[in-house]
Amino acid sequence: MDISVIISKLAFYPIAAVILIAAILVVSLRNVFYAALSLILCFLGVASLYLLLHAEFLAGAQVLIYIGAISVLIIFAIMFTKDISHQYSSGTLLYRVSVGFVLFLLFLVMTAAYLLNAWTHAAAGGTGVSITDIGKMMLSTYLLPFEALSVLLLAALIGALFLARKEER
Amino acid sequence: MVAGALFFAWLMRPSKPDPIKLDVYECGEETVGPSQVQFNIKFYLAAILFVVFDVEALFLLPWAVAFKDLGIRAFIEMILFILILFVGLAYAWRKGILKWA
Repeated sequence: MDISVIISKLAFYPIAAVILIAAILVVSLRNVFYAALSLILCFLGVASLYLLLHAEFLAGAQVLIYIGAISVLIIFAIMFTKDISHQYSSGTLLYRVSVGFVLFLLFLVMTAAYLLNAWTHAAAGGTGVSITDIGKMMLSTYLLPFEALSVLLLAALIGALFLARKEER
Repeated sequence: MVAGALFFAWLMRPSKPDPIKLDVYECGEETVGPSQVQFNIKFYLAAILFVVFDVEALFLLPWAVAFKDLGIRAFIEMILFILILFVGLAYAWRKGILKWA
């Protein structure tokens, strides 16, 4: 076996450990701000897993969108909520049971997806579609959706700014 | 070895924190108020701008990597993409969101 293959196979375990520990911290930490910070660590681990699978574009998306944008929005949501860091309430029993039930259903769906998937791409070490291929396809075959995306982003930006400014006044 | 020694030290040593022990060391500045306070809405507007241009940066990435293989046509297409999003920046600029007064 090639040395780089061995290294990437070995690298999986510490990365998986970091993801699992960070994910457990997210749900167990009392301070919601620290939970958000562990969530960022968890996202970083997932980005590393994408890199191990040679999914460079997904890894870039994970770093830019999840670690960049989503984390900023989560932290802003925490910062804008008054005294949220000092509230340790877990809700009523009914609330906890219903959340647990929904999470159990989600777990069943994920397990089914895991068992029914053949994982051929993961076994082959990636799909073989490089970031260069994505760039070429994005600007030729999928040009119209790509340009439509810019209009969508523009609409989202102006809409969000308009609403936020209305709050400000 | 080192980890074991540190672990046993942590296990054995007494923990008796008091206000003077937890105080700022020597000439450190005394903290005023909590570290997590409510933010100004201006930060939020900046964050929205950041999020949108973050997504734009993600789509610049495959274009930049494939730039050598792509022609002038792809360049113009990307300029169009950036220009459409620039309208949003111009809107924010016009409405004084970029001003920090």
